[in-house]
This record gives sequence, structure tokens and C-alpha cells, in this order.
Amino acid sequence: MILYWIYIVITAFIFIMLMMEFWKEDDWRKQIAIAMVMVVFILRILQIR
Amino acid sequence: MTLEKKHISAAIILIAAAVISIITGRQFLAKHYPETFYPSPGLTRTGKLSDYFSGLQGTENDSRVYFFEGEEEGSTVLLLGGTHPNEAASGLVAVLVLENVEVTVGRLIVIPRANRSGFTVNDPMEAHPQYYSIPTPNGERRFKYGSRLTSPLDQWPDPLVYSHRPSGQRLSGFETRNLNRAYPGRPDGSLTEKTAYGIVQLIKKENVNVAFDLHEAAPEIPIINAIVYHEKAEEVALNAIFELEMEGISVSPELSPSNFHGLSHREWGDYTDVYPFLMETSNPIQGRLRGETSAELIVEGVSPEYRMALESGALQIAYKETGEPIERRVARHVTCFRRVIEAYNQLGNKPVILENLPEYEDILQNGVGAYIVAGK
Ligand SMILES: [Zn+2]
Repeated sequence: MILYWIYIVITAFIFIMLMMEFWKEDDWRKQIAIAMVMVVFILRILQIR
Repeated sequence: MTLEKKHISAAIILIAAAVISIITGRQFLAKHYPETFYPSPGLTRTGKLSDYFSGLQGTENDSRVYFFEGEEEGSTVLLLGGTHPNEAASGLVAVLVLENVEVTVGRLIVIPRANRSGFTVNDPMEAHPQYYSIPTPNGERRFKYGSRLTSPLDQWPDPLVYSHRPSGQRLSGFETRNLNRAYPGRPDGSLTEKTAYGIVQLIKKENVNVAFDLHEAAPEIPIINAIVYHEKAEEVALNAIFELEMEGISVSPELSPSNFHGLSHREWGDYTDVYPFLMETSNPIQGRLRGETSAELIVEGVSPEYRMALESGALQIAYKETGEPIERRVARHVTCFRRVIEAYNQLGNKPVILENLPEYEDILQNGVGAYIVAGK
């Protein structure tokens, strides 16, 4: 159970980092690439997939 | 803060990502809704695995258990489908039996979704479909196609090495989520071990005499179109296989290895009084040689790549020129199941008489859909 929460916290942390990079990114093509990775993290943090 | 161009594109992309998350999220969540089954009028009661082991209560694997009890006393048979939810014929046969069978003597217990958790996900990297459909006279009926293993959302993390209890046998870490490596199971173990423990408790408490664990495998797997039996059930297995061969259904007898642990055909036999049988059919979508991976491949079982392999003669595979359609795989399982019970009855045991199950040729000709309810 502790492992589970550590995992969620790490995942959420990486998601926030991704979000920050996303807003800083100038190239819209790279923004799309980051967004694609974010979808996976959203589904994982919400424990859907 | 001024609104820069990059922030406009970021906002648009973010909305698109949110929409994709919602659409895919809903699809993934839909796999958690349980399937509806329509038991035959022969059903006498239902229960849950947690009736036998309370540790499963509230978990994904608190599977439904269906009882068909005859008027006359006899032996008890257990039929397990969906040990590996990516082996379609396994779960489908259990549904077909459950929706048709009438028991006149003895009892039949059916668990159509042994590892329910595995039905909520797909195996990663396999491009497997989430569902497959069986045509029935009144429309298509959709079934979940799942993963071989318990969902990582229900059991995580995997150890580097899976140490089976109590044998100490060591396997790859992911096998810790394989129900057919978890028997006899542990009440304080992982969800998969708890599920195995619950099933073994059911076998003990219900005094099950004969138990079946249905499977499918890739055409190139050596143990295929086979009945795997525990040594104490050898006479029953060989008598049944003799009958099947007489009918032109070729089945290879496989004695359960005594030193390969965690499997139903080994541990059910070692830890309980039951006669266990594990049966395998050939399912091309599980194979490494398959090409296009689709729901049709599950149902029609036609793979040009396996046909090439067959024609090359370089490989020993269980693949017929016309493919391995679900009708034949289901017909094999149903017929093997029936013949093993008949052999058990003939050897002087207290009998179990099952009625209203289709014959091999019936299923081949009419299709599986003729023997299941259309559903919604
Ligand atoms: Zn299997």
C-alpha cells in the first residue's frame, strides 16, 4: 500500500514536470509530443489504465 | 503576462489531450463492467468465491459461482473458464455450458470468469482487441477479451523473481500474476494467490470429484489439443481419449509433470481429493507467427502466416488449412469435457449426468451462437 502511494506520487510529480515543460515549449510539434505522453500519465494517475 | 502564440497552441493541444483522455478512459473503464450471463433453467443457486475465502470480498476476483444440482445424488464436477482471459474458447465454453446445461444426477459448479481481473485489461504490446463478438440468430453477442495475467492495477508491483509457495519453484516475476502458476494459493498472498486459494477451498468444501480448467494456446506450443491429467486420474483420462479418438477427435494425453508447480492439474490433485483435467485448444491470436491481429482472428482463427508455416512443413504446429475457428475449439472443449465425465461415470464412480449440451458436429454446423443467448 505504501508502494502504491509512492508510485502515484512519483507519477504525479513527473506529470507536473511534463506540464511545466509543455508550457515552456515554443515548437507546437514538440508540444504535441509532450501531450501524447501526458495522456498516458493522466490515465495512470487516475488508475484507469 | 502577454498571450503568446505558443500558449494558444498549447491550450488547443491540451484540450485535445483532455478529450483523448476522456474517450480512451471511458473505453478502458468499460472493461470493468461485468458481463451478463443467462443461466439455463437448470440453475439452482449462485454464490461467490468469497463464500469460500472471505479475503476475496470486495476485490475484482470475487467471481460468481453457478450451481446446477440434480434431483438425484451423485458426484460433483467443477468447470473453470477464464483462468487466462486471452484464451477465448475457455471462457466461452463455460458460458455455453452455463446457458444450456440441465443436471439430472449429481452437481455441476461453473466459474466462467476465474480470473476476473484479467478480463479488465489486455496484454501489453500484443495489439489484442478489447472485445470479440459471436454471431447468434438474434444478433451479435460481445465478450471481453482479456489478459493472460491479473491486471497490474489489482496486483502490483511484480517481483524480479516469482517464488511459488510452498514449493519454492522460481519463475519470471510476471508469473506472479498468472493464476495457473499460483495454486494451491495462499490466504495472505497476492490477489492471484488469494484467488487460487479461494478456488482450492471451494473444491474442498464442495467435495468436488472432477474438475476442469479450460485453456487455449498458440499453435506452436507442444501441449495442444490435449488433455493434461493428474496421475491419479489417468484411467479416466485415457478412457475418455480412447472414446474421443474413436469419434475421430484427436486428443493427446499429457501426464501432469510432478515437479512443475502452481498449475491446476498438479496442485488441485496434490492438495485435494479431486481428479483434475486441463484441456488445451489451438488459438492463432496467441501465436508469435500471427500477422494482422483482430477480433476476427479470435473468432475465425484464419491466419495466412500460420498457413504458410504449415505448408513449409518446417514447424510442428496445430493449425489446419482452413484455420482454427472458434466453433471447432469450443466443440473440442465441450466434447472432451463430456467424454471425461462419461469415462468417470463408467469407471464405477457415483455418476454425474449432464443433459442438453450440444454434440461436436452440432457446434461445428450451427456455430457457437446457436447455443448462447443473444444478449443485448
Ligand atoms: Zn492458458
